[in-house]
Amino acid sequence: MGTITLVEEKDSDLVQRTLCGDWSAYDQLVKRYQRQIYNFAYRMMGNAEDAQDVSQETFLRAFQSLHSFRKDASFLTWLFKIASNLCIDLLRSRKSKGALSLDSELEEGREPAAEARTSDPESVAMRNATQEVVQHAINTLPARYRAVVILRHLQGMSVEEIAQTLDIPAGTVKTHLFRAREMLRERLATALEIK
Amino acid sequence: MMEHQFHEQQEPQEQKPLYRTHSADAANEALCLEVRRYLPELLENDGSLRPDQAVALNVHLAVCTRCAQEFAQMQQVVMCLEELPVLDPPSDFSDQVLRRLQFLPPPVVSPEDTCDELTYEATHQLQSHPQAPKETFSRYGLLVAALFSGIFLFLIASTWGRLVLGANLEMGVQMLREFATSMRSIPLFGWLVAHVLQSLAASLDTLLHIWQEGGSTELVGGLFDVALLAVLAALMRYRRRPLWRGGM
Repeated sequence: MGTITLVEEKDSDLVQRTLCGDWSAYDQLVKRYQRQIYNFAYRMMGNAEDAQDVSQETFLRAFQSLHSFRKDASFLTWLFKIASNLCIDLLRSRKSKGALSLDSELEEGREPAAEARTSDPESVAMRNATQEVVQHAINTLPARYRAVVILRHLQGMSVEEIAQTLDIPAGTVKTHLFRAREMLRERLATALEIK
Repeated sequence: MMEHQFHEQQEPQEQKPLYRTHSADAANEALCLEVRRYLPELLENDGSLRPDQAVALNVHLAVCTRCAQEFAQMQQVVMCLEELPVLDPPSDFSDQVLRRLQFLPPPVVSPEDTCDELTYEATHQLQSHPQAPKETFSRYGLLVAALFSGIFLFLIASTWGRLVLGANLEMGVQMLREFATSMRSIPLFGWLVAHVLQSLAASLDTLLHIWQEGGSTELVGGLFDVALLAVLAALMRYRRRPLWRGGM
């Protein structure tokens, strides 16, 4: 049995098995991509609670429309597409409601610190402070700018891949990226003493 | 005087470089603007710039401190983003997703996604997820069991049934005893069979005894309880089958 599990099954095969009623196949797909989707959602939403809600919802929506997934496409890109749509919709609806604007949330200091992995307390504190500032700066960006900048610099996607994921032209991705980085530079300049 | 004149002649010459610097500034300003337009491409480093363009930009960055500073800031922003740590999702993340999936309608399967029944059965035998146990009851099996339980209950509960069943049971026990006695003539194997049959006859006799002495009420009650429990257990197992393909 151990030797069989060493061979990683292709995404498209797992999708097919899921469509045929096999739960364990979808379980494997979730386990394979949960980290990337969770991290994307965390950076988009800025807190762990929303990140968990959005990333779970992403896998549920993907499951429901699994029949529309093209077998030759990338399953991860497809998941990112669902996740970014969910995040953008949620951020926009919250903004339009105005009851809980992200800025007021930030001022109240409700943002939980990003957890670092190292155990050295001093460096953890230093890094946490910087990471918090960076996350706050991301939180002030418009939803679509956030998606572009996170996919590019945190998920390492190319401009073309981002264009496919968000269904926008590559030129627009570049403009969004440029503007997002400029906004971040402005916001981080004083906080991080960028020279 | 000559010296003074020389100085006076020199003055405008010294002014000239100042004037020249001003025009050079304007030219530099235009160059800087041009360079800054291309800085995002230089930062991306994705091959969208020609090598000679990249060299020209780098040459400018080496001499112009303001543009170099701007570029350094852009790089620093990217570095800040890339240094954000990768976080772990909750350990029970996939379990939670799977749990929530059970309450969703099944995914639509398009005609070209034909599922080979054999593959389906094979994957179902292999699957080990606790939420999707192997199927042990079928709907037909359940119906047959319920039908037989019903007939048996009717036979026990009705006077006519009890009469028939009681008479048959007595007759059956007697036949079993006679058969067991006849088997005793065969050595070893016969003795063994006779022993088993006599034990069976004895237990049936006990059942008949309870029936006749204690009345049928206890027996009916007990049997009814067992039947009810069996039906409940079967229903619970049936409900936990995968939701899609759950119906036959």
